[in-house]
Parts: sequence; C-alpha cells; structure tokens
Amino acid sequence: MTVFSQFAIGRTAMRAFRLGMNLSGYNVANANTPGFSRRRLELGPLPTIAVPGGWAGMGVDVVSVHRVRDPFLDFATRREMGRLGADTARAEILAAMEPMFGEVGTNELQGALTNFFDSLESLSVQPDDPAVRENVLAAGRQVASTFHRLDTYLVESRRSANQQVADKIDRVNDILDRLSQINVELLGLEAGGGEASDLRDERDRLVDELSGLVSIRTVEADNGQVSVFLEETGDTLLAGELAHPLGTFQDAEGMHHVTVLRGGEQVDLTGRLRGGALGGYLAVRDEDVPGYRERLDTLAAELAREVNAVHSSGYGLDGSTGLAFFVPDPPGDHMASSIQVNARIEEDPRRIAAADAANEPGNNAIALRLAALREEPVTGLGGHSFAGYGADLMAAIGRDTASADASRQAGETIVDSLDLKRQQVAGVSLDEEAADLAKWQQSYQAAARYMQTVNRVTEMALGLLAG
Amino acid sequence: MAIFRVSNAFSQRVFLRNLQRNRGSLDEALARTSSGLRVRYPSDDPEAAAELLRLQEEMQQLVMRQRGISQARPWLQMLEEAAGDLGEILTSAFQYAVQGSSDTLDDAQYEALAEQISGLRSQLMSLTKLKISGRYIFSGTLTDTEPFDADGHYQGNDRAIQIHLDAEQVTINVPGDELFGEMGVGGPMQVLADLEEAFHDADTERVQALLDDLRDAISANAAMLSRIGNRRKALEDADVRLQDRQLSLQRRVADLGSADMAEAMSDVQKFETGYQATLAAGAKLFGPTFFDYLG
Repeated sequence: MTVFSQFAIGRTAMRAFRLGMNLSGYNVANANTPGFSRRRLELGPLPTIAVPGGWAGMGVDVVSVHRVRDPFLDFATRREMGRLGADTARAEILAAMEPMFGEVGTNELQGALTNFFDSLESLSVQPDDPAVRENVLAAGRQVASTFHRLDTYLVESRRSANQQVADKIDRVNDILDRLSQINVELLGLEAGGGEASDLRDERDRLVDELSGLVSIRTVEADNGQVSVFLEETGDTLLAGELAHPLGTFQDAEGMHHVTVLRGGEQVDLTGRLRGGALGGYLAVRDEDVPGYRERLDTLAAELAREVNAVHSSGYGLDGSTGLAFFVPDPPGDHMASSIQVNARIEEDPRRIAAADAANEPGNNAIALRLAALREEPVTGLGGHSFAGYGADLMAAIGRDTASADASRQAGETIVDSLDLKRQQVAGVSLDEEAADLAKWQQSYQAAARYMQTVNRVTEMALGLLAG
Repeated sequence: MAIFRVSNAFSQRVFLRNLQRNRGSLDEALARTSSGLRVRYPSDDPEAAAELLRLQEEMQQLVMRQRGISQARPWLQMLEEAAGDLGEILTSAFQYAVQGSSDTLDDAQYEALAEQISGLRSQLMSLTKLKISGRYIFSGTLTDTEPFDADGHYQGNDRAIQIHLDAEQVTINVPGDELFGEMGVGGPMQVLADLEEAFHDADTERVQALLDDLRDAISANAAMLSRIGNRRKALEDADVRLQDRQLSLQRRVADLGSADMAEAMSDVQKFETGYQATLAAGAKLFGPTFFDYLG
C-alpha cells in the first residue's frame, strides 16, 4: 500500500461525494421541471489489489448516473392520457357551445317556437286584426332567424373544432420530427456508455404530450430508440430516425382530413381516429355537431312542411290562397340555415291565411288548425311535437356536454393517480434531497478528514526522514 | 393508495387541483343560491331539462288558452245580453199583441200599438249591429259586413267562429239570422214586422194568429239563451281547469328546476368549509422542508 494509493482512495471518495452533492443540487433545481426524472448516483467499490496478507480497496467508483423511472407506469399513464385528451377536447367544444342555446328558462329555440304558436293562437281569436297579423309575421321571422342563429353557432363550433384539428396535426408532426432527431442524438450520446438522461427526459415528455394528442403505442428498443404506432390503425408514425408525419387535406367544406402514407398512398384516417385531443376534436366535428345540425334541419323542415300544408289551403284577407308561409317550399336540405318567411307574405301580412274561405274576415278555421299544430305529433319528428323535438335536441346537447365533462373529470382523476404513482418514483422530494445532501456532505467531510490524516501521517514520516 | 415517496411538485399539483375542485363546487353552490335554479343549463341535468322545456311549453299553451278564454268571454257575454234583450223585446211585443187581440180598440189605439212595435223593431235592429273591437258579432265569419241590410235581409253567413278550450273548441258567435230571423223567412224580425202591419191594418184576427208565432219566437229565444249559457259555462269550467293545471305545472317546474334553498345554503357552507380547509392545508404544504433544519 503506497502513500499514493492512500491519497487515491481519498480522492475518489471526495470526487464521488462531490458528484453526489451536485446531483442533489441538480435534482432540487429541477424539482419543478415538468417531465424531470430524479437522477440517482450509483456507486461501487473500485477493484481491489493484492497486498501482503490480503486485498486492499482502491477507492470508490461512480458506476452510473441514471434516471429513476417506471416504464409500466409510463405506458398506463399514456394510454389514459389519450382518452383524457379526447374527452377534454369534446368537453371543451360542447361546453363552449351549450350556453349559446340559452338557459333552460330562456331557451332560444323554444322561445321562438312558443312565440310563433302564441301568435297563431292570437290570430285565431282576432283573424282580421292587422296588429295581430304583424305579430304573426314578426314571430315567423323570429323562428327563421333563430334557426339561422343556432345553425351558425353549430357551424362555428365545427369550425373551431376544425381549427384545433389542424393545430393538433401540426403539433403531432412537430413532435414526431423532434423525436426522430432525439432517436439519432441518443445513439450518438450513449455510444460511449452512460445514459443521456436529459435527452431521455425530453423524449419521454414529448411522448407524453403526443399520447395526449393521438392514441399511440410506443416501443423502446434496447438502444433507447423509441418507435411510435397509431393505436387505432397500427400505422407507423416513427421508426428509428424515420418519422412518418400525418398528412392532411381540406375537403369542399374546408374540413381538415388526416391521412397516413401506406404503401405509397395517402390513406384517409379521419373517420377512424377517436383517441387523443385530435380524435376528440374529430369526433365532435364529424359526429356530435353534425348530428345536432341534422336534427335542427329536420325540425326546421318539418315545421315548414306542416305549417305550409295547412297555410296554403287557407285564404288571406285579400283573397290570396295557396301560399306557403315558410320558404323554400318544399323544404331544402339545410333548412335551418335557409328557412325564411315567404316574401309574398312579408309584402302584405293580409296574405296570412287564417280563413278556409275567401273574403270572410272573421273566419279563423285555418288559424285554429295552425295553432293546433303546436301540440300535434309530427310523423317526420318521430311522433314528437315541435316543442318536444326541440326540447329533446336541447337535452341531447346537455346530455353530451354533461357526459363528456364527466368522462373528462373521471379521466383526470385516473391520470392524476397514475401520475402520482409516476411522481412517487420519478419526482423530486425536497426532504429526500436534503437528507441526501446532508449524507454527501458528511461523507465528503469524512473523506476530507481522511485525506488530512493521510497527509499528516505522510508529513510525519517525511519529518522522521528529515530528522 | 399506498404512498412510497412524495415529491414536492406533485404535492403542489394535487393541492391546486383540489383547491380548484372545491372552488368550483363552491361557485356552483353559490350560483344555485343566487339564481334559485337547480337546472340552469341542460347539462346540469339533461333529463330534468327536457322535462322542464316540455313543461314550460305546456304552461305557455295554458297561458294562451286562458288569454283566448278572456277574449272569448266578452263575445259570449254580449251574445247572452243580446239574446236577453231580444227576449224582453219579444215579451213586450207579446203583451202588446195580447192587448191588440181584443176587438175593443179604436184605430188610434192600434196606431199607438203599431208605434210601440216599430220602436221595438228598431231596438232589435240596433241589437243586430253589435260589435266587439270593430267586428260585427252577428255576421258569421263576415265580421266586416253589417248582418242585415235596411230591408232586414241577412248578409252574413252561417259559419261558426271557434276558439280552443282545453281539448274541445267552443263557438263564440251566433249567426244573426239564427237569433233574429230574417225578413221573408221568419223568426222574430218577421213576426214583429207582421205584427206592426197587423196593428196598422187593425187586423185583430191576424194579431191573434201572430200570438202563436210570438210564443214560438219566445221559446226559441229561451232555447238559444240556454245554449249560449251552456257555452259560457264550458268556457268558465275550462278556465278553472286551466288554472288548476297551471298550478300543478308550476309546482312540477319548481320541483324539477328550482334549487332547494336549504340544501343550496348548506352546500355553500359545506363547500366553503372545504375550500378554507384546503387553503389551510396548502399553507402547510409550502411550509418548511428538511432544508430548513440543516445547520
């Protein structure tokens, strides 16, 4: 055992403990960094050498500095993040849309329908009163403009979901691009052994984010490179350093479609992706909102059809007959956006047909039948009344909004508890770091004291020689 | 949940999320208290919302029906009064006819009776011209046409004007010729004209013959009065029924849509306590760590 090896033991110890202190500091510094996994220092004894009578240690070796992380928790968390992303996207669009239809007590659609049938009922009591006729006309206009406005709300909701679809596609591709770079960099950095912890943290953070955007499956190769596949279709998004970004095109309505390259061809996956925020926005854009629009169109079309059928059989005060109250007649495809009061009636409210015979100003037979439509079951509405169908539509929107929000909240709880588990493993605990720091400090002090002692002993020996 | 290690970042996240949830519950309870509504948007309770929307529509229908009833009421009242007045006219005419059916009257007395009948006839004519808000009530659906021309010919039609009651409809008019008859056809108008003529002619026999016609007219009028009375009764009955239904609907709307104030208030208390507790716990969270005790 030489003096130098005694110094060497002290030196390796001081270096290792200083590194420990550095790591504690690094962990504390990143206690609030999202996606940061705490670092751990792994130490081992240096190889021993033969000394007379046995073996002697040469000091301490820094075996590795590595991240503490549980791959299974990553997998489980990411799967739930995909669902949460979809629910959150749906809940966000629906929750923004619902209030536009008004509170239950002041519902726009119901208000307009009620007002319209009220005016017809007044017409039946005073069929020749010009003021009452003006009211019917105004109420008819209000019905039309309410349908237009609600349809516009729905179109706007679709448009904002569509914008999100475009944004999310861009973000997915950005992430894939960066991940492919990381796959390359990782190989280089880890070629000489050791873990590129920061790079791996960045990679895992990006995969986390990606899994909130689309439903994905990931596979990590032994060399640390990660591959990404679409959960729903199995298409490869990233293999090694090669990213296969999502493609997109806009259809005639301006809706963004999502495609992937498969066998040299772009395949449209728009109807199949339902996971992650992208899938959530696609679902609300292509299923929920179009469903409401269709029902709104049906309501507008059936209202026009039924009212026109009765109205055109009647006579106005000026003897006019055969007029539709609402146009277009017969109703078109997108009736909610196109319904209008017939311009001929707008010109002269005396043309509103309240009578079932010409030139009978007090005749209210048609007005009575128009007013009675209010309660009648309508075949085209599945046997519901107009107001009942409207109420069901509002309730459907409410139900979807409530259930999307409930799934979102449930998903948040699940992701939170998984994340808690993940953080239990990977997160920085300041108490723990403080204890570690104290440990390294004491160890460092001890190592320093050891060096001091070795130094003294050496000095003493040198003094003896000098003496 | 078994907890192995606790990281500070996560403690903060858990704290913030809990704080937000409690704050959300508190705000929601406060909104319920201040608005008095349990179901404000359909998503608050979709099933109740659908039911509420239907109930609101039903209530509005009741309101309109009641408005219809209050507009129909003056029609039937006026019909009833007119039929009553006509009854009095006919009764007076009958008394004059009884006077005139004895042979003891001289020409001047017959002339005086003729004068009386002429007065009754013009009273009857003015009854036929009754209007409600500018509409003739005895012209059928030709409400802008005077029911009778100067010669006593009916110019209206026999169409009924109806309004919706509960489930049935009620007719609120009586065509003029049904109530007053018509010149050249019969009924009170013709009988009175004949009577006046008979008095002018001092034709005792004819006056006696007309007594039967007058009796018929009086009993026909009484029948008409009771028909109108039945309609009015139907109207008032419907009104009462509508009010009852409205009350029960209001109760259901309140049950479904209104906040239970006691519950809402105690929720506010509860969530406020929870919120305060979370805040207090949060203050501890940001308290000392082991670092504070390292010398």
